[in-house]
Amino acid sequence: MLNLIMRRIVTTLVTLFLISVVAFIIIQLPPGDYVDAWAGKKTQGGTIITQAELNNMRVRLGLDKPLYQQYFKWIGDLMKGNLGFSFEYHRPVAEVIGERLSMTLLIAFSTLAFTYILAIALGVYSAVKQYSIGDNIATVLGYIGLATPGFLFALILMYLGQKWFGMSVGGLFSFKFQGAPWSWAKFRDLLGHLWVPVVVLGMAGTAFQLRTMRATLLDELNKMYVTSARSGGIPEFNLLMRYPVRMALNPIVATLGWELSKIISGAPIIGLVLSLPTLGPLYITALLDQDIYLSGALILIYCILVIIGTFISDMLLMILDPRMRMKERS
Amino acid sequence: MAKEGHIKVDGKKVQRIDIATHRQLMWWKFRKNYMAMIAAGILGIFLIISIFAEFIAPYSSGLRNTRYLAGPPMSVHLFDAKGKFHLRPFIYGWVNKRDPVTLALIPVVDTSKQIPLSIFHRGESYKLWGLFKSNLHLFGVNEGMVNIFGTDQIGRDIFSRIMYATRISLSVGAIGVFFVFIIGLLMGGIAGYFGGIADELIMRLMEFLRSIPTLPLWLALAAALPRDWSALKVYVAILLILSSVGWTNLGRRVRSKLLSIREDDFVLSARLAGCSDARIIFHHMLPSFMSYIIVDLTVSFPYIILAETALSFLGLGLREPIVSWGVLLYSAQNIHALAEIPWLLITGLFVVIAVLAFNFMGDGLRDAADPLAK
Amino acid sequence: MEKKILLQVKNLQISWLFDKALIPIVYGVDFNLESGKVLGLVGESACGKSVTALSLLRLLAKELKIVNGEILFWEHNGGETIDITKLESRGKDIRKIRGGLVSMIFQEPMSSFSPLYTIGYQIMEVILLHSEISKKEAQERTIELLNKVGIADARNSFKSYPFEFSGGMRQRAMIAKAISCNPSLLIADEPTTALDVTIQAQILNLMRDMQHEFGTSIIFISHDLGVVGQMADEIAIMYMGKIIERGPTKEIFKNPNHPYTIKLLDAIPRLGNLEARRRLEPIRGSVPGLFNRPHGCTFNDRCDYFMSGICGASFPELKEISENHFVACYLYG
Ligand SMILES: Nc1ncnc2c1ncn2[C@@H]1O[C@H](COP(=O)(O)OP(=O)(O)OP(=O)(O)O)[C@@H](O)[C@H]1O
Ligand SMILES: [Mg+2]
Repeated sequence: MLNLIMRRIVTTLVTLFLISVVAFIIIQLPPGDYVDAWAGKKTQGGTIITQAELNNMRVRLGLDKPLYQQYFKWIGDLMKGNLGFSFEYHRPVAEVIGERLSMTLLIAFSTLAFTYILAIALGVYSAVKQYSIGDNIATVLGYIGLATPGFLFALILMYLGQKWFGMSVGGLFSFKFQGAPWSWAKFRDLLGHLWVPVVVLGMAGTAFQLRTMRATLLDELNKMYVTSARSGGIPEFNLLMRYPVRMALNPIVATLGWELSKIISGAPIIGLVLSLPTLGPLYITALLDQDIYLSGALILIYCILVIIGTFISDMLLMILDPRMRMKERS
Repeated sequence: MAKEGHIKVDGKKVQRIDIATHRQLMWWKFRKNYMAMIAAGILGIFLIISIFAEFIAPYSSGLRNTRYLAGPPMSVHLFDAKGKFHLRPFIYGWVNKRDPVTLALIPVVDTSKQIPLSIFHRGESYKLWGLFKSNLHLFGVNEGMVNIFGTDQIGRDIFSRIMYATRISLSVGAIGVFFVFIIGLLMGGIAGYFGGIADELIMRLMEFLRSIPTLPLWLALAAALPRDWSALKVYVAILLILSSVGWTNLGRRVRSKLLSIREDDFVLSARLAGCSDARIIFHHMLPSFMSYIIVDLTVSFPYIILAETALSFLGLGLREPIVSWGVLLYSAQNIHALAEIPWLLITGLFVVIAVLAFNFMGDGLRDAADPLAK
Repeated sequence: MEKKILLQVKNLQISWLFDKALIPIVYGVDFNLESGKVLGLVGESACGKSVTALSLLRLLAKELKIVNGEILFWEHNGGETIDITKLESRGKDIRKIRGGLVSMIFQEPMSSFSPLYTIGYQIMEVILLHSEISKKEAQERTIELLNKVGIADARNSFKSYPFEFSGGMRQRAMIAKAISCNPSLLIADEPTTALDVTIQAQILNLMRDMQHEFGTSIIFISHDLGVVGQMADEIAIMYMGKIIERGPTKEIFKNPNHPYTIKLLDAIPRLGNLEARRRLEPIRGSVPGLFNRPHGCTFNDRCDYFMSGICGASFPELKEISENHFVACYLYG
């Protein structure tokens, strides 16, 4: 097991290195640099900026150096735990990200939990009661959930919230708790708001995993080993949970990392629509402003989250399925 | 118990058919899949809209009804306020009144005035596919304008805009799927057929692409497009961006299929007969799993459409004057605009219906590819 | 020894509920089984042997329905008679019978254990369900059983997963599971078909030993008359969901009556046949599909003695032609 984890860590580091290179290339892709973007905005505002000022600024920000030097400085700093400096916020990236990271993690993992709990429960129900009214409703909702873009769903919720309750369903805190220190009341307020992004982000994934769960379980239910176990007289519910359901968990657990990746994918756009204090909206503005160290750090964080998700999924699979353990051992 | 062709099972009366032919069986199975048929019909309508957008839309996508800003959808009636039936459908006129609270001018329906719709209306002239000059529209009115889905903040007809957007969004899907097909086939084909180092490299690349969350990657790439590019250039670039990440599924499928049939007898005999690699791939191996590829492509259609919609919704995808569903939804981003003009969301309905239709059709095709499977 | 009836199946009919239509699969099966005896059920592939076997424990798939008939089971120690067809297929009563009074061995040893649990766990689970003993005792009993069915190093095998076992070992483990609660009836559905010949012989010997030791009745299902001949006291031949001939083993081999039985016996390779260099006679034609069941006698399109006007009209009744020997054919009576 330990050996295995070590191996995983090494491959993960290699992947991370590659991702950092790609991330750096991508954030350097736009023509011009932060200084150009900044000057563009300033001149629109009527300020006159000289070329010398711009050059000074480049030197100050280290943007005058060749690209590879900039990369190695960036990656070197990253190793030391220094995420770099955000030009736009005039603060270290780590500070800008700060609390938003924990909110992002909270939302991402709550969504993951929501997705899996709901998908497994409904999937089992749907498969066991195939073609029942409940199953048909779940199937229809599943199709609609897969077909509705998350942001559209968020927009509809926003509109309905506005129209029926005259309130915004966006954000994670009520106005009076914004910036307030943590307290029990603030936590309750958070829970009251959290369900909206969790449902919106989790909808498509739940629909997808529900379908997978239903289909695999339907397959498993007809397998010989289930009949064989039933012939021993095991009570129906225990039989269901211990034999076919546990087997049917395999494919949905195997795609857990991928599911997290989809959740993270959807997060920026949902974050923007629902004005959440998460990394997503920050990422989009950072991209547009060419705030390279900020957007670079954010891409890396996104990728690390996905890698963590894959790692969790592999570990869970190994706990669930002895065949995986054996394969890894040999 | 068994009486006259009927029998009771679990309290329900069912027909007893002792002898049924194989074809009957298939028909019974097929009958269950009417959703795929409906989906195909809907996609057919979408296709017609895309081809004849200029004809079906009463106005061009930029034309403004300056007297009807942020106007709600106009409903088409057959019965007037007194309950009298009119053979010719009509809409009511409207007057702009000032809202007593906000003091904004808002259009109010005026039931005393009826404006008949004319079918095959001669209106704004256009060039169909940029070739044939015409001014014939499916419908229109002689007096003012008809906006059956309402208008946006600056008075543009949402129905017409959705018709044009359907064309663009579906074309993004179609061309995107085409690119995905080419790239996926090429990469999967190389990996699966040649194996070895090529396989290893391509598999790593696929894994790598899959380990990056797609939307953030697309966003970064789309943000890198120069702001001063023309709308058309952006269109092509977005297509390339979307398909550069989207091919991995197909690639993986092609590879694994190739690997599994590489050792099959018919490929071996073709090789023994001295066929070239290319000939073996395209004449012998491809046809044998074409149905899977078609299913995969049908399923990747909606992904590309949804991705484009998301990018454009954020303002990082297509731009005016090219309108897609996402571009239309962009104006609904702001909650205040949305509260004022909720009919902007009608576009969303089109997105959902299109994606649903593609998914149902994909499922139907998957079943049809394997008619005897359970 | 007086005859004690254990199981009586009367006019059992099972149909496949296919989109509101009922397609018959088992079309009238009758047999009796006495305590301590072995009944062989023989027939070509897809004739409905497994479906019949599964129905005895109400283990049929959802889409298969028992539409007619009775399955009477005599519970000897308690003295009660149960009609299994009347029980709730997912209910409590049938669960008491499953594994406890009647147990089953399946056709494919490869897939009859779940790969997620150890062999030991899956056997122990059944023991714990049917007897009031502690986990520790159940574990000891499981190891003892594994030992008995000839699995080497039973204590370690207890902790093995099914995929670490060979096919033969799995079938041994399956037998261990099946006899774990001393059932009065063991249904063995082609227990050796998926195994190679030497293993096959070992498993057959094992089953015979177990039968002698515990006095269990066995329904032994196979498509191989040769194998059944070695095991069974009585044989029932099935064709397209119906029993067409039934009788004591010796009688069936010596004096087969139904044209189908005769053909089946001819198809068994025997040393005598080889010496005479006689060609093995395959049965003409093939089994019609479920959807093309012939009218009248279902064997009529492959039968050499087809009598027009008689065989095509209705299915012949099972008639007793000598003691305990029943045949369903118009050639006899
Ligand atoms: N769940 C099911 N749904 C529909 N048809 C079924 C089902 N199970 C079995 N059948 C059909 O019932 C018939 C009898 O099947 P059964 O498995 O009893 O055959 P068998 O005699 O055991 O054959 P084999 O020797 O191959 O095991 C077959 O035609 C089979 O296709
Ligand atoms: Mg069978």
